[in-house]
Amino acid sequence: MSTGQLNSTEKKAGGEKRLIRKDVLITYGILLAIGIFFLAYSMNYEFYRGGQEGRVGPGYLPRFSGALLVLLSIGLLFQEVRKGSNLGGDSGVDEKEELNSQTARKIVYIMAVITAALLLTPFLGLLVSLVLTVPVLTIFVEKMKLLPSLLLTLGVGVVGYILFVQLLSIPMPMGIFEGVL
Amino acid sequence: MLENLQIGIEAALSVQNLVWCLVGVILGTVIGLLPGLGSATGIAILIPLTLTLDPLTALIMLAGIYHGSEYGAIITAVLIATPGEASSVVATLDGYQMARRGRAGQALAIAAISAFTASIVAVMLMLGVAQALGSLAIGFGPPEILMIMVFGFATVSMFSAGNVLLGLAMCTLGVLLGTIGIDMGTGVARYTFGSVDLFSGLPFVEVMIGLFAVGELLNQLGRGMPTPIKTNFRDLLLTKDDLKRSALPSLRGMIIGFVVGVLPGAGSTLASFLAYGTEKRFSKNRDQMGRGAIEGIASPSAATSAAANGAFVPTLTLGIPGSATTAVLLGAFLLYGITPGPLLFDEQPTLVWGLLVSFLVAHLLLLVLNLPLAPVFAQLLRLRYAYLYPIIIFTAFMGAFAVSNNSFSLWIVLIFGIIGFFMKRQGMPMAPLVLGLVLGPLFEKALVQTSAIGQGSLTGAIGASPMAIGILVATLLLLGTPTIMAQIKKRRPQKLTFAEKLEQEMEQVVAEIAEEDAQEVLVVAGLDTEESSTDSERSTSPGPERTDPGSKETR
Repeated sequence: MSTGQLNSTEKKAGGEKRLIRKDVLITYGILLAIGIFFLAYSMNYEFYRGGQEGRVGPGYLPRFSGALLVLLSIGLLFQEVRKGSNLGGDSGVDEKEELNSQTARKIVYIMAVITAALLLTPFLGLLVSLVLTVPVLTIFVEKMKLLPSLLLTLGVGVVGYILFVQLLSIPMPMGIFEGVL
Repeated sequence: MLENLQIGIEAALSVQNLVWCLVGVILGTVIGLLPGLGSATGIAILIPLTLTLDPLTALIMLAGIYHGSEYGAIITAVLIATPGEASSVVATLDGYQMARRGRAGQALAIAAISAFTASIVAVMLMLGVAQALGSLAIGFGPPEILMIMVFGFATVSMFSAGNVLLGLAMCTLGVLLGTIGIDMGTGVARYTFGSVDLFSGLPFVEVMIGLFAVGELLNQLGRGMPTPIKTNFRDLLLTKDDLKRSALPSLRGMIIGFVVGVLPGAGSTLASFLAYGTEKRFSKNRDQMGRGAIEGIASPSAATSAAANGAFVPTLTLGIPGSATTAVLLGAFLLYGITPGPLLFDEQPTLVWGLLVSFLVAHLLLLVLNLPLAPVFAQLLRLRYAYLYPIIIFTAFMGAFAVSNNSFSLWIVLIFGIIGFFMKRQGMPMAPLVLGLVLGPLFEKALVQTSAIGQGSLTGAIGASPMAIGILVATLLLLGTPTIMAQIKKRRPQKLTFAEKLEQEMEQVVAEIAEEDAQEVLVVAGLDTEESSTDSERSTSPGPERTDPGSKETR
C-alpha cells in the first residue's frame, strides 16, 4: 500500500470521490522547489559565451533544465489534483509493502549506525568502522544470536581486508590503526 | 561481419575473460537470488571491484552479472513466488504453480533452456543489427548526437515510469545534478558552494550505489521471507511433451523479446509481459495458463533473455540504455573512459565484438551451471536478510570509497541511499534520473558543439541536418502519441486496447491463483469452502506465506 493512501484527503471530481495523496503532492512540491533553486541560481552563470552570437555558456543548460523541471513539476501537481498521477517505479510492477513502525524504527537505527561509522572513520579507519557496523546491526538491531554474528563480523573483516587492502591496494584511511593493519 | 565475429571470439575466449565471465555469471545468479539485490544493485556495488581489470574483462564480468541475475531471479520466482527482478514477475504465475505441483525442476530447466536458446539467436541477430546501426550512425555529428540523446531521454522516461511527465521530470533532475561541478568549457564552478569535493561533479557511481544498493536495502527491510519449495536434480529432467509444448512459445517469446529489447528504453520487463500476453492469446494450451502451464514460463524466459541481449544494441550503438541495469552499465563504460555510441564500433572493435561474443559464453556457462546447480543455488534462499544486509552495507561503502579514494563519496552514498529509499517508497523511477546524471555532461558537450556549428544558433544547426530533424520528429511523435491516443479513445465507444486486455487477463490469472490458494488452505484446515467463502474472498496473495524478517523464528 502506498503511504500516500494513508495520508490523503478526498476530492469530488465529476461526481466521483477520489483520494488526493498529500505525500505525493509534497514530493512534487520538492521537485518544484529544486527546479526553482536551479533556475534561480543559474542566473549567476553566463547564458551565452561572448554574447548572443557565441556558444552556449555555463548557464544555458541549468537555466533551460531548471525551467523545464519547474514546468514539469507544476504539470505533475495539476495531474495529481485533477485525476491522480501514476507512480509505478521503474518497472510499473514494483511491490509496495506497508511501512510499519517496527521497520521504520529499524531504518532509523541503520541510518544512525552508518552515520556513526562514517563519523568514526577518521579515528578508527574505514575498514574497522564499517566492520563494526556488522555486529552492531546483527546483534543490537536484528537481535540475532551472538556467535553467528561474531563469526560473520570476522568473515566480513578478513575478506574485506584481503579484497580491498591487499588485492585492490586501495589506500584506505586506517585512523589509529595506521601502520598496524 | 565474419571478421568482426573472429575478433570477438578471440577476445572473449581468452582465459582471463572466460574466468571473469564465469565469476560474473555465478555472482549474478547469487545476486538475482538474494532478496534486496537486483542486477542494477549488484552491478553498482561491484563496479569498484573491476577497476583494476582491463575494460573488456570488467565489462564481460558486469554483463555476466546482468545475465546471471536474470536467471537467478527466475529461480526465486519459481521457488518462492517472489520475482527477483521486475522482468520475472510473469514467470511467477505459471512457474510457482508448476513448483507447487512438484514440477519446480522442470520449470527451472525449461526457463534455462529457453533463455539459452533465445540468447544464441538474439546475439546472432545483434551481430547484424548492431553493425548496421553502427554503420548508419557513423556519420552522425554533434546535432544528430544531441537529438539521439533527447530521443533517449524521452524513451527511457516514457517506458520506465508509466507516467511521461514524471519520467521526464526525473530525467531533467538527473541532467541538473549533472551540471554540478566545474563547467569543462569555461572553468566556471556551478552549484559547488565553495566545496572542493563538488568541483569534479557528483560522482555517478557513488550516486548509483546509494540509489540502488542502500535505497533498495532499506526498502526491503519490511519484506518477509517465504520458505522455498524444495527441488532436486532428478526433477530437472524434461519430457518430450514438455519440450514440444515449449518450442513455439520460446520462439515467439524470443522474437518479441528481441524486438522490444532493441527499442531504446523498453527493456525486458515489457518484453516478458508481452510474451506472456501473447501466449495467453495464441497458445494451444492457453486455458491452462496461470495454472502451471510450461508455456507460461518458456515464453517469458525466452523474451527476457532476448530483450536483455537486445537492450545492448541501443546502449552500444546510440549510448541509450534500455533499462535501469543498462543505465548503470552505461555509467561503467564511462568510468572506464569508453563512450558508447556510433563511433565505438570503429574505435574499439575488440571491445564491442568481444563483449557481444561473451554474451554467448555467459549463457552457455549459465546453462551448464544452472541446470545441475539450481537446487544448490536454491539453498541460498534460506539465508536470513538480517545477516545479508550488513554485508551489503559494508560492500557498498567500501566499494564507493574504492572508486575515488575519497571520504566524500561515503556521504554521497548515504545521502542518495536515503533519497533512493524515499523514491522507492513513492514509486518514482530511478532509471531516468541515473540516465540524466550519466548522460548530462555528454549532452552539454554535444549542446556546446552544436551551438558552435550553428554559430550560436542551435535551431540553425539542427535544422541543417535532415537526420537530426527526423530524430526530433520521432521524439515528438513518441511523446505525443499517448495523449493523442487518449483523445481518440475518449471519442470512440469503450474498446479495450491490447495492453488493457492484457492487464485484465493478468489480474484474472492472479485472482484465480489466489482463489485456488485460499481453497487449498481451507481444505487443509478441514473447513467447508462454501461456509468460508467470505474469508477466501479476502485472500489476495498468490504467493506463499511469509515470515516477518524481524522475527527470530527459523524459516
